[in-house]
Order: sequence, then structure tokens, then C-alpha cells
Amino acid sequence: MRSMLMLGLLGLSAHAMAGEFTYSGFATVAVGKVLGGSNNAPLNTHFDCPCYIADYGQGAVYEREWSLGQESKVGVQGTYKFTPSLSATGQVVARGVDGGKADVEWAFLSYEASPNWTLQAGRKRLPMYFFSDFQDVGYAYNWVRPPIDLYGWEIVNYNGVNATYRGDWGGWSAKSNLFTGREDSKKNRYSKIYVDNAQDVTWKGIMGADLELTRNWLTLRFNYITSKVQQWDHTDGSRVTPDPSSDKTAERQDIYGVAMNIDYNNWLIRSEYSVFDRSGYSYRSRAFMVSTGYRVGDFIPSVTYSRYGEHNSHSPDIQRDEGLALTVRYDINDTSDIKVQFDRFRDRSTYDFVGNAKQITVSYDTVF
Amino acid sequence: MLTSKPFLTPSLRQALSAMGLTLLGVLAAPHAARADIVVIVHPSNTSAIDDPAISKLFLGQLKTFPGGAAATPVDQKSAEASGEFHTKVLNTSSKEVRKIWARQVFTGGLRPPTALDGDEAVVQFVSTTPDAIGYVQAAKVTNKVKVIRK
Repeated sequence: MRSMLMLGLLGLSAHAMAGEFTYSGFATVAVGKVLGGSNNAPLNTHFDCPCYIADYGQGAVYEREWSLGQESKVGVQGTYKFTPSLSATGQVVARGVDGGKADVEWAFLSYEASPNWTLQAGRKRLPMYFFSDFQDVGYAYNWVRPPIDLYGWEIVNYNGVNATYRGDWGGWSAKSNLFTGREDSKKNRYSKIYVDNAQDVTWKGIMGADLELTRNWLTLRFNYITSKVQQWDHTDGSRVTPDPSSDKTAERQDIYGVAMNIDYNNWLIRSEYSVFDRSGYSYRSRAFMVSTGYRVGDFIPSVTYSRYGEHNSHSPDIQRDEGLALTVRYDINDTSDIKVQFDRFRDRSTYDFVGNAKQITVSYDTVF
Repeated sequence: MLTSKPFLTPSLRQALSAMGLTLLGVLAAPHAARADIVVIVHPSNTSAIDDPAISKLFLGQLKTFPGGAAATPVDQKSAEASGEFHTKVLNTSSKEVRKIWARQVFTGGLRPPTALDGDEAVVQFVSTTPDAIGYVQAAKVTNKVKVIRK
């Protein structure tokens, strides 16, 4: 269905007589391994620890052996302009962790209603955190990956509609996005980290808004998302969420947070705080990260600290962890970079989760 | 008996200050570029356009001039010309500009400004496009465009 839509978009562009087709892309080649860790047991039936979770949403987990497949990816995007204000955009990403199968991450129609308002409909990345919707584009940020203590949930995309506003508010550039939609994820990749059996996850009635304010060296972002959650065991179809004993058809969650970025001369600060509230049926988690970097010519060394913690009145099993990352980014030229990142992950969960780990990763990112 | 030893020995101090100078040199280098780039608009454009407003247009944060009129920014293909513009007017580097656009291109299908080939092409485009804004070497300005920033 998704690939049909994509073919449709590409077909439209190839056959249309008027208009303009442009394409661009990005790629990351990342290789990494766990240097050591405190856990010497398998994580479910899928992974072998000591291990390091590199991308929850895609189910990317490094083990002791060097691995090229976990975070390497290539994305190609095409945009076809029917008129100056109406366009169609499709983006396909092939990931090593998924055996190179191409996923449609974005496929939407975009209409510029005015210089301030853009209306879009189709498939998009869900803008949960500051870096969420461009998490695949390693070139656009200075880590190998955004801190996993925040960037890790089961739903990555959604199908729906959104309206984006851009305006000048007394010298602040304001950008706001209002969106609504749903996502049905079959054999969810994130769930592999937590459960043996394949899971189907649905987030429906997604409604969200974000506001990004930029002035000179300061960027602030506020966001709020609410949705209904459902989950089933893929193998036998039994309901997981809501709990089978519940008479509800879906549970509710709320996600909100704030991000602050500073680019002052050669100093770079990235910070984010977020709450993920499922306390009606499960946990309420809080997470934050702070990163400081300094640009020295073509090098950007940085230090990042992040933390994740849950409160749960329904279960004694609580996940808590913290991360420390040391990263050096080297800009090869205006379109590519190399990064080296050392991560120290500390697992302070109240149950047997993944254990501590030390991880080394080297990546090459490019845009074209 | 313990003898205290200065943390920085004289030779280490020398080495560090040499590194510091090199570092300063690296950091100061962009500012040493020729700074005679000017920003031009169509003569009919009466908007009050300051540096932050120019930045917002060229970084894709806004699509309008202050006052609300639609704007069409045009870039230059030459890395030297655009680099000088990014340093002098946007107060950043071409690499940072590229990162900002990478985010916008791959998350909303936005297109960066069209890049034209050379000062003459930019002057020609701006002189015939009422909502255009571009940058050229001061020496290439004609009376068919208006300089808003030297």
C-alpha cells in the first residue's frame, strides 16, 4: 500500500508535462560495537548482551561484534511541483537494520495557502522531540545519534494532515505545526527490545502541536502530543493494551516537553526535557539531555549527558538509565562529515533490563 | 620531601600559546575574506530589511519581508560568494547553513533558494523580479537594483 502510494507519486512526476521535479538524498554509514557491559545474558530472544540500544524506534541494538548494519541507511527524496504552491514529496529510506528494505518515511501533498501557512496531507515523521523528524539525517546534527534516553518510542511516523505556520513575532521567527492522524505499526521494531513475540501497535487520534521560536543564537521549542494507544500480540492476536481485563478499547497517553538550543559564536548547546505520560495504565517517564560542544575549525567535539526515569503505580518494574556521550564531528566538506562517538550507558532499572554498556561508533554522513 | 612543580612547564606553555595562536588564526580566517558583498533588492521594494530579516529569508524561517510582502531570495553557486555572504551577513558558516537546510529539505519538502551563476545573473534576476533579494560584489551593482546592506 505504501509502496503503491510512492510509485503513484513518482509516476505522477514522471508523466506530468508541466511542473518541476527535484530530488535529493542522505546517507549514513555507521559501524560500532559494544566494548563491554555488565550483562552477559540474552535480551529476549532477539539480542545478545552485553548490548547497547542505539535506536529504539528501529530496533537497532549493538552487540560485541562490529556491526555495520544497525544504523547505516540511505534516503532518497523527490519533490514534484505541480504549481508554485502545490507539490508532492516522497522520501524512501533503506536501513541496514531492516535488511535494506525501503520504508516510505514521508509521502505528502503540500499546499502553500499563503506565505505564512502551509497545509500538508499524507505520511510524515511524528515530531515528538526536536530531532525526531530528521533523526535519519545524520549530517544535520553533531552526534552519531540523538540521545537514546529521549529518542526512543515505538511509533516513528503517522498518516494524517498538518498545518504549518511561519511568521515573525516581534523579531522572533515563529514556526508552529498542528497535526492529527494515526499510525498502525505491524511487527513493531521497538517492541523487539522488550518482548519476545512480535507486537502490533496502533496510535490513533493523534493530535499535536509544536512551536519553535528562533532569535539570533537562541532556539526554543515546545511540543504537546496526545493519542490513544492499542497493542496486540501479532502471533495470536490477543490484546495487550488495554489490559485484556479492561473494558476500555484504548488507553490514553500525553507527551510534552521543551527544547533549548544555543549557537553562540563557536559554542553549541543542545538541551531537551520531556514527559511521556501513560500513568492511566502504565508508567509516567521523564527524560532530559544536555549537550555542550565547541567548534574548532572543522572539528566539533561535544559532551552529552542524558537521563531517563519512570514512575509506575501499576508495576514495580521501572526502567531508569543514564547516558554519557563523547563525540567528535569532523566536517570533510560542505556535504559530508565523519563522527566518532563513545557512549557509556548505565542501567539503573529495578528489573533485569539490558545492563550497563560501553559503546564505540564511527559514522560517515553525507547529503546529496 | 615533596617539591611542588608548576603545572605548566615553560616549554608546555610555549607550545600551548602557539596552539592558541593557530586556533585563533583558524577562527579568525573567515573574517579575513573580502567584505565587499552587498545585499540588493528590486528598486520598488520599500521594506525595512535588517540583517536578522535577511537571515530569516535565507535560512527558510520566513517567506516574507518585514511588513508581510512575499520574498524570493536567490543564492549564488560560487562557494566563495555564498561563503562571504554567510559569514558577513548571516553571521554563520556555509556548513551551518547547509545543516539548517538539510533539516528543512528532509522534513517538510522545503527548497533552498535557487542558486544563480555569478553576480551579473543575480543583478539581472533582482532587477526584473519585484520580490527578489540577492547578494553581489559591490562593484557589480547597477542602477536597476537597490542596495539595502553594505
